[in-house]
Amino acid sequence: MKRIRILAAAAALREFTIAELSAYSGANVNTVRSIVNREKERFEEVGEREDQAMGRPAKRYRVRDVEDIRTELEQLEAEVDDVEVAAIEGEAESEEDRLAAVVVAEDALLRSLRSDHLEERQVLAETAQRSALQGLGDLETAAMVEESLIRRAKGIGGVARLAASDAGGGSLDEADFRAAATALGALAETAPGENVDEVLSGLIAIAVRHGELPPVGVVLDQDLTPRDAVPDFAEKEWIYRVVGETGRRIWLQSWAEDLLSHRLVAGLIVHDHDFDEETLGEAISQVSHWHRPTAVISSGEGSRASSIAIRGALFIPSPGNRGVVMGALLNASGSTNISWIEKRRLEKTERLVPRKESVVRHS
Amino acid sequence: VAGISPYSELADEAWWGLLARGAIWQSCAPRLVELHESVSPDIAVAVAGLHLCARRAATQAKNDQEALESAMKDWRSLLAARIGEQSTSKEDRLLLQDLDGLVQGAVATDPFKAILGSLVTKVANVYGEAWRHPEFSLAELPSRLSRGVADPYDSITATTEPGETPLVELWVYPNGLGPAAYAVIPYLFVHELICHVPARQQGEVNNGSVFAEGLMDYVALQFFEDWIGEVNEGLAPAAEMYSRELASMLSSPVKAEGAARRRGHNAARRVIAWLIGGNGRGRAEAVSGVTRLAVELNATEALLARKDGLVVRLNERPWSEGFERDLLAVIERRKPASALL
Repeated sequence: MKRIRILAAAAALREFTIAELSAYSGANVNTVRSIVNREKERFEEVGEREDQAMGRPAKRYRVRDVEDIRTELEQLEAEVDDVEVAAIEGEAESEEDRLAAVVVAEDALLRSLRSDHLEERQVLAETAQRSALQGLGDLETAAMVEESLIRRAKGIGGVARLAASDAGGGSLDEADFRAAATALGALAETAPGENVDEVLSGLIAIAVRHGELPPVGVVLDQDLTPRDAVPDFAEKEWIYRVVGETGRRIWLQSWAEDLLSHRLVAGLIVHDHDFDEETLGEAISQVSHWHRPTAVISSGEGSRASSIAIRGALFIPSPGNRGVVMGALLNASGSTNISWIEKRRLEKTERLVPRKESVVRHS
Repeated sequence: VAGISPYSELADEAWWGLLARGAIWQSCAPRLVELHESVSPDIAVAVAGLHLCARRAATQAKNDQEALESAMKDWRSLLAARIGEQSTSKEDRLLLQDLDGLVQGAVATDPFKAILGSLVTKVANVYGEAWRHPEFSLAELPSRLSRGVADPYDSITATTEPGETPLVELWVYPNGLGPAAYAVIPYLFVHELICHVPARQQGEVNNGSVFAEGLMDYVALQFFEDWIGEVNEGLAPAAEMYSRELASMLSSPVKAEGAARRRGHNAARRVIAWLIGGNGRGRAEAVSGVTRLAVELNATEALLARKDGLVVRLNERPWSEGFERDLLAVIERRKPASALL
């Protein structure tokens, strides 16, 4: 058996020192030396290399004829029935393997979204897509896999596609973000909450890089529209949802509709001059999830903080009394991308004059 | 200086406690499987008793030799008491007597460093010029790892690079250093030495890497099984048995680390199957071919993300013709491993 291992390792290495061949074959140095000497017609000396362990020069050998060794190995190994390999070649992947492929995909996606290295971001996003596909497997056998695993794999694949395009420098439009939001919605139903939160943060970062608003709801009186509050984004497609009986509406970009359905809206911007507690509570409950606090950016009084906190949300005051503060980037842990908020606030505070103009909307 | 802890992370007392446990388990290496597998209360008392003896010895010792001798003396008394009990079964009595004989061969040399040292020589030969000699540190884990319901392996290893030289760290929960935990230390070391010490991946460390923790771990297990009989013959049966169990325990697909391990192992097996089934290689040559490829990839300076991407591609089916051509060329050393990245 040792001879098989030694010859096989020699065929794989092509060139080696005795110590190297010993390490690869698992045979001790004396056995290796003895076989190399005994079968010296198979090997030729090709100089010396420093032995890393002993720190002195060691003879280096090269296999003369790999095929010759292979022929002999074939005979020697003919009796060995390799059940493991035979099984691997033909077998469909087990559900555990598919789950592993999906978890690997999810981890690659998270690493991609965290990275600030462009090449790394792209490679990892593509890897996430590939591994997610492996989790899905062949269509014929996919039916046998748990539905939640399929949804999770599709969710990862969908967001990874967006992340790969982003890292590859491609242009992204609302349709791309809508697809990613739908994918993230699927992920939210099947993946661990902390991973979903991190993917949401990554999606927000990509949205901002491409000139989209983050998935933040703007709460407006019923006679106001996003064109009034965020005129820079007036040309975008918007949707709204009515807040209870109040008539007020939560507006957000239509690509984020699935995020709203899954309560993955990262924050609310409150037009605050006469906002009552009941409306505030109703709005928060529509977008917020118990384990994923939603931030409320409000120009309201500091006293709002406690009533917002009671509802499981985070209060972020906007200084000044000039109306709605534009935008916020939040992740699930409640941190904010301050630089973005500051930038938008500076740009927007002078322009928030209510107007009544039509916008594209659907409920 | 003899008698002073050789590890900056360990006070003398902590060091002597670990030294006594390690040296005694090493001396009893041929019986560690029976010790761990036994469900007899007499054997359980013997195992737990060693921790008490080691702790007590550590508080009273002034040097390594004293620590070991004192722990041995106390433990032998405990063994003798169990052997003398009428209720002790014949089978247990034989095991306890055997332990009493074996423990007298214990020596007060650092068993952890000895295991690492013997493996470093092997791994240096695998990596050749790409090898980097590591430093070693030993430290205490403050609590049990609690990775699962039945996790007797209360030790972990890590490789860091605090400076120019890589540092292999072994963290041990002292009262968890039982027979099985001691037996897996060679595998933990081989994993660090093969997978991480010589790794050139632009500094990135990621426990969810299908390359570093998966494919390379498959290779580490192959080398470990090849070498353990030679580097620590007495420990080999227990080391092989519990290292396989630990590797399996760490391959749960639910968490990123386990999923990476599973998919990396799977990728290695697929390449081996392809070499055998599609390229007429024997199994031994196919395994050697994959281990050599993995070693070359690990020593190739490239983003870890690229290496992970390759492993995920290896799990894809079918491979493209171009990819198969490149893979074979790299395995046959007609192209460098970087051609696959």
